[in-house]
Amino acid sequence: MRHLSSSDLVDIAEGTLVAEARPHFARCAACRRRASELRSTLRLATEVEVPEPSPLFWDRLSARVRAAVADEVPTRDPGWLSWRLAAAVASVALVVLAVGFTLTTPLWQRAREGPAENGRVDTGSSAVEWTDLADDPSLAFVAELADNLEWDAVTEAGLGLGAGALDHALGDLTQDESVELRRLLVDALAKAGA
Amino acid sequence: MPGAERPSCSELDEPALIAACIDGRSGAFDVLVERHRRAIYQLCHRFVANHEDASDLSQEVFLRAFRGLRNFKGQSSLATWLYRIAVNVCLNRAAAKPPISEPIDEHRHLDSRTESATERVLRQERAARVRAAIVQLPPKQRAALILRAYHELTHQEIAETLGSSVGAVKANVFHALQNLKRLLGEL
Repeated sequence: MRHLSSSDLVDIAEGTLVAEARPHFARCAACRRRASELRSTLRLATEVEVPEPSPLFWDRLSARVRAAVADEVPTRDPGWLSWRLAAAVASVALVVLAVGFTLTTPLWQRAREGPAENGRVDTGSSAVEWTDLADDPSLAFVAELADNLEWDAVTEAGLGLGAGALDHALGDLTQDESVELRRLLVDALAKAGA
Repeated sequence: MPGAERPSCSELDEPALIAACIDGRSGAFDVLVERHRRAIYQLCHRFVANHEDASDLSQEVFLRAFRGLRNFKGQSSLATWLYRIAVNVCLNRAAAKPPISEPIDEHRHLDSRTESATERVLRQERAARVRAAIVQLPPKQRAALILRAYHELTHQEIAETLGSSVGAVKANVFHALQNLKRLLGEL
């Protein structure tokens, strides 16, 4: 005679008796005894409650979890930035684009003409040092950050270019202003990265 | 509606609360912890049978939940997902550390105003024996029994939690109950 399987006995102990098992269960004392033992043990186990901790414990647990979560340093993909950092980098990147365009356009024009022997070019307003932007580590760093910035993040931060904004930037920056701006960019990047 | 106040985190249903947590809304994860901390603590306590370890394990469960919440797909309830994390945390602990049960006089906060002192002591002794016996079960049997007997997960949910089959879950429950009966006879 084939007795009930462990799966059938568990079902019976939990209060479920499948139709296929009923005939055997009705006539087999051994299976009924095994099912009864399992049921008694299960009932004994389920009557045991977890001791209730101090009422203060629950808030302490939440506080510990909160502290542990606060210590987490999120791991993000290189192109995934918080909105604050995205806003800071976006503003820096836009100004760098404006500064770079201001400095490079005259350079292109000067390249056709060539610099003066002393490396200085007279723009008519103030003398401009011949500058190779590729050698500037600060601007190279910002350019690298800007490469990782998604345009959607920039526009969502409300930092998209308005009409005429770039023309304005191109037209108004002097050499002294661009030097000062470069210093401000480096400071802003240092703070954003802190 | 324009100008309408958004609900507080405590008023959010489960999907909205999860979304708020993922969005980083302040206080959202606190609410999630508050809603599930008791069940998670009880599961951990049943696994290790002592308060200190259960407390540490509970913290670890919620920390892992915080890290992995973006990966929660909603295919199960959040509670079942948290149980899965808790079982994994407890199984890892079971592999690393032998079980330590609390002595009976650590149970200070039981509400037993309607029973005599003798009945209370007997009940506490019996409960401590059962807890100590459960901790002696092999980890998978322990996990299957706890999830079925105390947290009322279906066999299918337990199978998904443990990464096994319904048949294996029932076999684990069967052997857990047989071993529990034997251990209670020996203790």
